[in-house]
Amino acid sequence: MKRPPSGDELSPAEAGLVRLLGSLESPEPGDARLTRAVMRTARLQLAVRDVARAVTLVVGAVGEGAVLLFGIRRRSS
Amino acid sequence: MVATAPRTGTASDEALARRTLAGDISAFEAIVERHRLVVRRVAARIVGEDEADDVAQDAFLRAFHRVGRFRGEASFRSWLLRITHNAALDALARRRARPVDDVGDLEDEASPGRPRTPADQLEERERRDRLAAKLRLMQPTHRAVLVLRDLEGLSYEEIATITEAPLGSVKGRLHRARRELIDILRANTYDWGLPQ
Repeated sequence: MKRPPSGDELSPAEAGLVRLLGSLESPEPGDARLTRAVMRTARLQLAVRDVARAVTLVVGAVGEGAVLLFGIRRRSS
Repeated sequence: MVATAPRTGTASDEALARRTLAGDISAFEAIVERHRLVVRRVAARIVGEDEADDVAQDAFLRAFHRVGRFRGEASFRSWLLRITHNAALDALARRRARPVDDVGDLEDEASPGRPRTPADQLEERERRDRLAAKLRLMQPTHRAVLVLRDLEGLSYEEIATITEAPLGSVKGRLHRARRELIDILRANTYDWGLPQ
């Protein structure tokens, strides 16, 4: 935890409050598990995004193919 | 000669952000490792220990998907803390319906699993726990600015960037936040030793 800031014009009560806050313990620092969890989820989301893009491309291509195919048939019939 | 990118350990945040945007996921891992302590600390101060990991993870993932929006107008840390601040406030908004823990419960939290400590240490711990609980009773936006200034020691300019508020508003909000916490502490019968 950083030291309480200096330079603020504080009333006696505010100065007392800042001193009190300085006595608070730092929260638990956390550990490398957080990094692992973030990276695991990020990689998963990237993979899902890539799959979704691929599916969108395939569906788009199939749709265009269908339009082309039916368009040709309609013209020829 | 082939130019190589600097190792992630020595590269600047901005360089790592550019590499992340270019698809180098190891660069983002270096960002997470570099900033996880401050991100988690700020998250814990705003939402509490129970949700701190979730909020920190949410903040990093938001940053990962929005890294292309980082323009370098402020430092990367400020940009990341802005995302953390927003993620924390969002988490608080989601649980607004839930009752806030009151300090009245602290007497029952005698930490049965911990080894016995001398009475003065126990009293000091209880005092800190009470203060942390009082902090959680504050308005979220007030709590956030108080955490960033009085606990993290950030400059007004950086807090203005993080909270997306004008400098004058930050100073006013901080003043009101301190008054709010002082009033909360004074409303309690516990003697905080605050001068008038």
